[in-house]
Amino acid sequence: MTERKPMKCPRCGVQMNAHAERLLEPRSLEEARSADPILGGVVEECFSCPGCGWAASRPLL
Amino acid sequence: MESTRPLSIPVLLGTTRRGRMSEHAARVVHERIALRAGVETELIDLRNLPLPVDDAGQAIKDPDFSEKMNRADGPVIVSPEYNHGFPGLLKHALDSCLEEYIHKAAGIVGVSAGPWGGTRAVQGLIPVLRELGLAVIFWDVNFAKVHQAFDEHGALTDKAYLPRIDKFLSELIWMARTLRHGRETVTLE
Repeated sequence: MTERKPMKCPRCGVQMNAHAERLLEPRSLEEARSADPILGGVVEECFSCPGCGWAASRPLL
Repeated sequence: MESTRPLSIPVLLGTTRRGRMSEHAARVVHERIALRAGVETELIDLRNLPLPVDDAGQAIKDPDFSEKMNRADGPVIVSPEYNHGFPGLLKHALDSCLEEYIHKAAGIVGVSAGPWGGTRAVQGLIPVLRELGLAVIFWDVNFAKVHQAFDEHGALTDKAYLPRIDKFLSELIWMARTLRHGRETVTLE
């Protein structure tokens, strides 16, 4: 199981559920430098709030 | 704990063309959604989105559209077929969001003047929506020869569309409800 840093909903403050990861392909040289060398992009964690339903994401730390 | 918020199933009218018949199709679908208990809806008209054309992607995200997509559990995309594809402005609008779509349902309504009901536009949209993180349902609605389905006032004359729309919506609502449960309670390992 992946260890995840908790994320609070920016709208209502409830702890969000991490339900997906998606790969964002680099669109610039700068983004390419921070890309995962095996996956070939930056992985984003995707969250949903069980309180208000808000969606949010952040780069996987 | 199951959410008590109404399910949000907005309708995105995917063309700005003057004289667009898709507007009538979108309105009928919107009216059918509004009959469903526990579901809220709105008609989002691409004409009203202030999206610039000198940039693209999330750089042009409109806060109002982003909020509507964020709130949505299963948008319906009404797309005409132009030259065997879906409108470029529709792609432009869809591309302005991303995190808002992940693990949500989507249903597509195709519209055409010809006999195929926008099938080619529907087929073109599916891989795009997949990449955006949306789960497209296996029901479509196809308005073929759309000028014959509505009268001069935009009222639906071919009532056979109603049970087809209702089946489509039942599947979309099921998928939207199921994925909402997943997004909010099932954690990725």
